[in-house]
Amino acid sequence: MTLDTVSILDGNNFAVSDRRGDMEATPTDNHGLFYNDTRFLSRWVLTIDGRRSTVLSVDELDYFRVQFFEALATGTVYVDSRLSVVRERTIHEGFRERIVIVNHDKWPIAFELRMDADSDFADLFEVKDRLEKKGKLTRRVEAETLILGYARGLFRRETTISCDVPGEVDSKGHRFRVQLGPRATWIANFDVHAVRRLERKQPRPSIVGKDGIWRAPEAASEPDLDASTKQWISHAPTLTCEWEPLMQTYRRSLIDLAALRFRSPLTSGVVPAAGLPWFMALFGRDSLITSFQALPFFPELAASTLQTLALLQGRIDDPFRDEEPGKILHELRLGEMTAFEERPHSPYYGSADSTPLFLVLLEEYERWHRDHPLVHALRDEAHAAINWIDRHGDRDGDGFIEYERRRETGLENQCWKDSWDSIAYADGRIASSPRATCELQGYAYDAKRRTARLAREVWNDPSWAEQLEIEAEVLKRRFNEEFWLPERGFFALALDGEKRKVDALTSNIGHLLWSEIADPDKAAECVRHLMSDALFSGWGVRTLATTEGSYNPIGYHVGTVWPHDNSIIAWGLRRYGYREEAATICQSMLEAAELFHHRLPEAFAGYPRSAARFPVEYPTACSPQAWATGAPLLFLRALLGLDSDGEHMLVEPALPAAMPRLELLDIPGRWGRMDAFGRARSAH
Amino acid sequence: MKTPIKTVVRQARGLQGLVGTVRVDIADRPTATIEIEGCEVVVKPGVDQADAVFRINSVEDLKLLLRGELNPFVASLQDRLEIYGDLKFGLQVILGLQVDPTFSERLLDQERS
Repeated sequence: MTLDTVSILDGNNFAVSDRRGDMEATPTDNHGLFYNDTRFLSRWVLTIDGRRSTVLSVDELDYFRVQFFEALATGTVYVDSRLSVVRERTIHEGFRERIVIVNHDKWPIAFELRMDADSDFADLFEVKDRLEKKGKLTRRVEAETLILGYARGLFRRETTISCDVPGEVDSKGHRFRVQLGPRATWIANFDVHAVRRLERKQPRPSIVGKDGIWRAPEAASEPDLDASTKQWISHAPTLTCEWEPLMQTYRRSLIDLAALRFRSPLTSGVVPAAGLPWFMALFGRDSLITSFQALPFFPELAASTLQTLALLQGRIDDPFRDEEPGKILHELRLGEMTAFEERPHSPYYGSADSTPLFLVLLEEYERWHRDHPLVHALRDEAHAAINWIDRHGDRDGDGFIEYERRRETGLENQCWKDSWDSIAYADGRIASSPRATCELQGYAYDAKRRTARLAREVWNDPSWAEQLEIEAEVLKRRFNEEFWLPERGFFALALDGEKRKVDALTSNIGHLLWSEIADPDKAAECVRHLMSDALFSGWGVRTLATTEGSYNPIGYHVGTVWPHDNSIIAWGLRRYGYREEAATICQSMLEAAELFHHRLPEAFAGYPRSAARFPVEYPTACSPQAWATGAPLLFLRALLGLDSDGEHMLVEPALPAAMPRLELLDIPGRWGRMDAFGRARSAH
Repeated sequence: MKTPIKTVVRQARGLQGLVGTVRVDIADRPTATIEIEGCEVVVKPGVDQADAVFRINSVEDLKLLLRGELNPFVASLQDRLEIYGDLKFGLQVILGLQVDPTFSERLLDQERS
């Protein structure tokens, strides 16, 4: 999100406005109130006597609440305003907005206040792709409530807008003729409610107590976001560090992870939504990686993510949804285009890595937290996932996972770099399909090794364990033979549809370290490339090296720097013993975080660090984005060398000089809670 | 007057491991019960105590769901299906019924007496 917008969110309910608090959706400004992938409000504009107020300050109190301080300017050099305006907005199945107007003058004042509202009920995909609506928009007034509606067959959505101060309500909004005495205050509370099932939900009138604070009549049944956030943060390990920016980035990550939580009705816990604004939905890959990053901090994310994805694991063969038995979903959407099967996201399964990553997280979760009831409960799902890797993931039986969409509505690339142009040769030509990207093979290798351990140690199935270990070793040997580019000294990005090596130098080779599929001598060469000027920008490892034909520093997957990518690479470097290189990446990314107000975005531009004193923004990056939010947590793990050997927590710090001392206290795991300490050592 | 739904017994591979009962409400009227035990599924008229409730818009939608011709998520997003009670169990049942749909030829025809 750009810095000229203000967002508040709670799971997949979020509101985006300008810095005045107004919402005016345009093709370039994605303002509005969004809920369940639908924009329930596209216009929300406050005027006083036909004029808009001037913003003085914005106080982003919490991720779910914001205050706008404004004045009605006179147009002179000196603002000299008699009226000040405060708008306090809180998100919850819509939002509530409290408007406070203060007359600072010693004379009475009369004015007309209008709150204009409208909704286009756009599906998130329509907002992104600028498509036309197919249903009918309506507006009516009932009992001083403005009701904006949309209907397409049985699919109906409404936005109800009510206010606790009597006024005039017409089809465009609310109007109030206000007489305000000297030094007097006028307060109105708006309730904007997103209604999905029309006959079952009624707009809730808001209630204002004597203290002027809004209270919902059903407060007991609604989540207390304040208390929930405090509890969430209090359960996290405590970080102490002499480097203040890291402390702030850590706190920002904890809060953003709280903001991105989905309260899944299917399980008792929460799962992370992927990112604001485009990806406030359940994503397999993003939820799994975020849960992995957060495992030493919030293990409940992993448990809930595994349970939710297991429940929605593919059962049938459905080409439209790219669904196959055993496959873990890519993305679940709830908007109109999904409802009418104009998009396949009900759910969509076009992700070739979610399934092995599901197994990776399951094993890592058990190793850290020894939740045997959950691991036993997911045994059948683990079997189904392995079967998918062998039968459907490996489409042509060559031993490698490859992907190819089966319908035009599916994703062309079903790896984490899922934009259309991400898988290209060094000369920039796009590779043919099906594509077997290298990191998919690493994930499959890791998944089989880890599942083998669970089979042997938890499920008491040694023969399956042995079979999986043999398959993993065969995969590793063949991968090192068939993906290696001896003339360039790194692994091919992919094998194309004709089994030719796609020879571009990319960050994907870093994922191979995480999976430990690379032979040590080949890993050493990959590390050299990862830390070279071509890949390492000085802030982080680029998705594509500057030497390659497709390189573009502001290309989504062909030159930008992705924090989550770097966190995986840093952790991979630690697994191969490259402590200093891992620390370099952690430090530079955390320095970048400081310059992004302690919140790493989804991605940023790949310009070299020498080009500017700050990392350059990527124009449409999501922020907060779950796996970018989780990246600092995995950086901390990499810096402290935290791991579990199945019984104890292991600590092997490798800190850069900028972080002379690091303490992480009360790290949860099968050991209960333990502390980790690290300090930087001088070169000698 | 509409007669109740006929009793039908089928094997449903996708329901393996599930045990429980789902009540089916058609257009808000309790209409039938689905009993699941192992892979056996019994759809019968009448209403028993249930772990979950499927509120379905019409008999035609029930047929489409049981035949695997209407995606449960699509049905839910179009407000043609709601699941109450034990959501997890209800979802497991409705998704499990999509595997090799055993109700695909003729069933659950409502007859007029």
